[in-house]
Amino acid sequence: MKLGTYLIWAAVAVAAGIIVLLGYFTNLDVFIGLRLVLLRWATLLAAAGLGIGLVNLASVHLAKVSDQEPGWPYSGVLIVFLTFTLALGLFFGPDSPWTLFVFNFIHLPLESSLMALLAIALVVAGVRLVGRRRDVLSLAFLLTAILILLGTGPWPVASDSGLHTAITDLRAWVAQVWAAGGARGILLGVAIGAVVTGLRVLMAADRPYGS
Amino acid sequence: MGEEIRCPMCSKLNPPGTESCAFCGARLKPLLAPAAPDESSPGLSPSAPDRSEEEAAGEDWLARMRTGAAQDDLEEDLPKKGEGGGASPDWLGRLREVGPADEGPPAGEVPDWLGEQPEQAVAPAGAEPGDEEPGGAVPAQIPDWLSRVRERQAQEVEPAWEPEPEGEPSEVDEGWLARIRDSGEPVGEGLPSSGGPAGAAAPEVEGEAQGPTLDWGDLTPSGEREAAEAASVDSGLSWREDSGADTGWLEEVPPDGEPGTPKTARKQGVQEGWLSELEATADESEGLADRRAADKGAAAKWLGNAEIVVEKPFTANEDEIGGPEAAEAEWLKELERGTDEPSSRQDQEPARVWETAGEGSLDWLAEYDASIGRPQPEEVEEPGPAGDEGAPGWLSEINAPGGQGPSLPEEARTAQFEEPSEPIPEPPEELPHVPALVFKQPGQAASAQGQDFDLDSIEGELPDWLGEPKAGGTGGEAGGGQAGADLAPATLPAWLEAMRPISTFRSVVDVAEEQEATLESAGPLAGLRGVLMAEPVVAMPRAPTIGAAKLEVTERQYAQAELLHQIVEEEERELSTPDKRRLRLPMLRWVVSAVMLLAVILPITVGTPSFSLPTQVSRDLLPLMGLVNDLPVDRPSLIIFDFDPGYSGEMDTVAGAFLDQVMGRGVPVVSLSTRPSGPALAVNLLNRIAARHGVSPGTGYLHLGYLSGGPAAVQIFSASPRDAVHKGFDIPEAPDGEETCGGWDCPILSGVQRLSDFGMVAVISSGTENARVWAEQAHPFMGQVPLVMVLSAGAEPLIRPYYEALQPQVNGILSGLPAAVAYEQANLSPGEAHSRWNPFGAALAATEAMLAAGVIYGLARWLLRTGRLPRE
Amino acid sequence: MIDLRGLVILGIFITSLLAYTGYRRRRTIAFRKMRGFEELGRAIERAVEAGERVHLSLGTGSVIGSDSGPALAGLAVLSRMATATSMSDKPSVITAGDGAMMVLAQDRLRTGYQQVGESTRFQLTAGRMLGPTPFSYVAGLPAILGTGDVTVHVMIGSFGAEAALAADFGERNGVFVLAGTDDVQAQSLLYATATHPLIGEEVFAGGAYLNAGPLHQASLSTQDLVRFLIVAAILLGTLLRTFGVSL
Repeated sequence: MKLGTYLIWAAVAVAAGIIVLLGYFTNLDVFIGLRLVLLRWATLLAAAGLGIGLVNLASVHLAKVSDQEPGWPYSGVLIVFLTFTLALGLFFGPDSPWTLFVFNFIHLPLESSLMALLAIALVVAGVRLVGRRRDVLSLAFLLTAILILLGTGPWPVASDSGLHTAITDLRAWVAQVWAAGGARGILLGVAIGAVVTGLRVLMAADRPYGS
Repeated sequence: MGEEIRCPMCSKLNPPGTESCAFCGARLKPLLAPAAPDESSPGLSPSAPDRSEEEAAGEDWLARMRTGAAQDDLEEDLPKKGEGGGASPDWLGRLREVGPADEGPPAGEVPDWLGEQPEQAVAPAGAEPGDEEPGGAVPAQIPDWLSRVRERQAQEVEPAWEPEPEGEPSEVDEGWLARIRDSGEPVGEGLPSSGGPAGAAAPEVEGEAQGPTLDWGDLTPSGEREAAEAASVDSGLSWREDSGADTGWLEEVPPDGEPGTPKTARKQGVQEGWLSELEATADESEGLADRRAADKGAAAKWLGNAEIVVEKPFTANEDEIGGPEAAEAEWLKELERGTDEPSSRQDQEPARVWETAGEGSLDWLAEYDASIGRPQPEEVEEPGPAGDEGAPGWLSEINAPGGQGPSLPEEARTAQFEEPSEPIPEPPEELPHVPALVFKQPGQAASAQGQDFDLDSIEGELPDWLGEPKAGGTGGEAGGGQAGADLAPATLPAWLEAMRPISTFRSVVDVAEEQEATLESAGPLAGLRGVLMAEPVVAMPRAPTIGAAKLEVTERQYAQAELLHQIVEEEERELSTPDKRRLRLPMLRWVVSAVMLLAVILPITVGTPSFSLPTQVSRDLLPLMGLVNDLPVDRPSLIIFDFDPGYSGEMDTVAGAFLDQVMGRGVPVVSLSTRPSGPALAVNLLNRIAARHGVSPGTGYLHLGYLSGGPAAVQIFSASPRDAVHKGFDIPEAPDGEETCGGWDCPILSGVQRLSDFGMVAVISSGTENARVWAEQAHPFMGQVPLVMVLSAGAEPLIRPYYEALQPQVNGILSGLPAAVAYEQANLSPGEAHSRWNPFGAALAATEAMLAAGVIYGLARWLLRTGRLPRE
Repeated sequence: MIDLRGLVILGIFITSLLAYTGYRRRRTIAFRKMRGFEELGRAIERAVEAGERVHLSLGTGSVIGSDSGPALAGLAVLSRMATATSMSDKPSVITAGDGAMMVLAQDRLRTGYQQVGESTRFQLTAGRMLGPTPFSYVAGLPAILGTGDVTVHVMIGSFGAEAALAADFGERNGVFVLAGTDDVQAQSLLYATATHPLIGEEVFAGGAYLNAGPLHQASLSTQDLVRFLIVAAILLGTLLRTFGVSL
């Protein structure tokens, strides 16, 4: 990119950010209207980006199939079902029974299985955590997890006992006080980091759109 | 024929008449001077009939020598004539300048004294005319003094030999020879170019040459004697002539009668033996050989020790010495060792001495050097005063102490050999001493020389001129020895002295006397003395002269060196590549999966284990239920389905309990999703619940579809819902197949213009982000419309603050399966939550157990490892 | 009407950012050690030397919205990785769950190659979208981690619970895993599954620790400053509320 082009894109990015910010911090109709317009444009761009991503996805897997790279059969299946689903949705609509059928009987079970796999992976990671990372934080992490689980689910025995009640209350206290407080602090830090990152983009110091 | 000839080198007997030894190749008979006038030595006159002619020629050459020669550079350095001591160094230079024509007597001429004893003359067997060897190491080149020595030795052995003349001549001879020997003049480089046995001998010879006329043709005993005497003079010339040496010095020899000039020694008898051999022809070689054979067993020590060496090899194992090389080494050894046995020299036959002298070019010199190197006897006295009366001038020059006689520049003199501070005394009876290259201890005398040679024995044979120095010597053996000891070191000419190397370049080496040196008994140098020991230098290890420097290594350098060493070792070590792909089953995963599956399947199929329903009702449940009960039925409720299909298992259960109450009251429901898969999820859940309550789509519930744009879209929708969503999702069709409504034109949404027109907004989310977005983005636009959060159990802690705030942004919250079960219980409509309670409980229990086991296992390993480390 | 509080807070951010940028030019600010980023540098070097591939995941968040922040932080790390791996035999692979984020990743990768003069080594397929949904994105990761000779697996972006699955895939393949997200739930899951998890706002510190520029380091200092201010404000408000003073 030439120097002149870079300045134009930087100016556009900075101006758009300032307008949206002013639309949030002021009640001026001009800025609010501009903000809404820019947001709509951003939404459209995001949708267009989704389409570009799908094109990229298809091209990558097509190249993999054509080059006979390792794992190319899976890429072929992906391309086939991508084409089929795309055609199904384009021709019959996203809310057609066929599309919903594919969603209900293919997409949904697959993602449910991945979630189940996640649960098992988390359990395995929890079992190995103390052995792999021998520190106090890891031990506290696991003990807290066990406590939360004990306070959340039913017990095989003595579910109505006082201990269960105590554990349940303890779980609520830990979750709503300690966990929530820590999470709140983490969220604050994340929010601060997001603000600063956005400011770097607004100041054209960080140019994700290229330089 | 005659007797066999014994080789002087290897002491092997050879057939008579043989010229060279058949075993070692050594010459058995010395070479004779050629007959050519310009080449042959006057002392080696071949034949007697030519002597008459030779006599005249001899006189001529002698005259030529007397009359003059070219000026020499050494003239100034040479001792002055008439001085006690001898001729000036000029004679050395004139020696060189004398042309071949002037050198010595013409060929064939033999001095009278030499011709007197033809039978004793050494037969120049094998002498080849024109045979020139540098240094005069040919029979014709043997100096007169050498010949005299041999004659003397022969005289002692053979009774035919005339007794030594007593008296003055012998004394003169002794003194002369001793003075020559004692002279400290260097021999090596200081020698005149003639290379004769000495420059020291040169003036003597020169003086002798100027002395009486030599009759080379007279070989009668007396004549031979004289001839021998002359030959003793001429022999010095003869070998020079043969070698082309400059004999001009002979011209310097003053005539008889002049002070300092050597008297004619020709008149005196000399040992005819060796001189006669010089003149003997090849025909006489046999006779000489006979004489030699007769004289077998006797040998002059200093000259003829080679004979001894040959006969008596001194090696430890005689068998080892068999070759001519060894024989040569032996004779040389013996020659050197012969200095220790001076007496043996006299016993040696001059013939053998003559023979040995004829072997090499510088054999005579070697012998001379060897004689010089020998320690002199203690009784050796200082050399006689300069200018001995009886000594010829040239002899006196040689014997003059303090540099009289031919002298070299001091530098040259000192550079040639390591001289003692004082002249080395020479034994009186020894031959003229020429300082050798080997340093001699003062006091050491060429004792062997002096002891070996007795000038008195040959006194009678010496010419008059040769007897003068002897007469002027100390007299007698002692006197002779003293005279020899008093011999002044010969002076070198200036030009020769200038050629002497600088003493600084010569290391002062103290060489032990040969007789003190051990005799090598093994190896290639067996039989030699003074061999440098190899062990101390080569064989034996030596400690380094310089102490090994200690290498200073810092700790860091050491660590780096160790690291480098480890790196190098690692390069050689084969490392097994880590296997990225697991080749074996992950047992832990399989076990966990199996347990989890069993925990879920068993309650469903078998019904065990079963868990009791929760009896406790959370404090959040009743408010929510009241809120739902207070919803207007003419205003639809917006239900946001913001969860992924993977969370549908939980969210469908929790949201089902909530929606069951809502739809059970007949509240219209409108679904919306900010995720692409949300509408489909909404369709499934709402269709299932609606079917339970008999609610028809389009009138009881409606789907608005997917709202793209994320949080921005939420804000847009919150501000203007109709602008954000244009068309519905899964709009029911009329019986005729046409859509009943397009979305916002449906009767359910007829009164909805803004977000606040909805009766309730419920967000069903699995994550906190979406819930927070709706809580933050939609709250400003909701007014009094309650916002309810139906969340996953994990999202509840972060959303609860919105619910528990003073000005809560969330009006109701329902999270987790337990809450759903309780909600169903409170609603008195058990649903999916109840059916999933037992599997849920079992899975949780299994998870708790496995996590606990993992903690215990990890702690145990941790404790065991930490406990093991201190022990190690 | 103008939201002054928002503008004041915005002003504080901008002022501290500029001030720290100027201060950084004169003095050196030392940050606490973060083992994850330190190990990341060494892991990238080893991968480049061994001719292996580096993978960077920008998450499933979109460009618009709050989940774009971690993705932008991931792009800052991408710029440094691009320059570091430009000479590798196998170029880096950047994946995202959003198309627009994928486009940004491609552009940043091209810029990184251009900066080191290796623009010819850039490939358009180096930036990929694995799937529009989180779990479909995670479902496409094993294909890259298992067959692409990937030895460095970096996850910096907006992830949900699927991040734990993605990290677990990396751990099972024995690769170096560095994971960070803005989601608290995902962070807790990453703590158990990833080798080097980034907790909290550490996901935004990648540019500063990888020397992406002085403004990145100033941003980190600004975050610390604002955090302290917030802490102070919370404590002050708590005290005031405790003593019955309402604001």
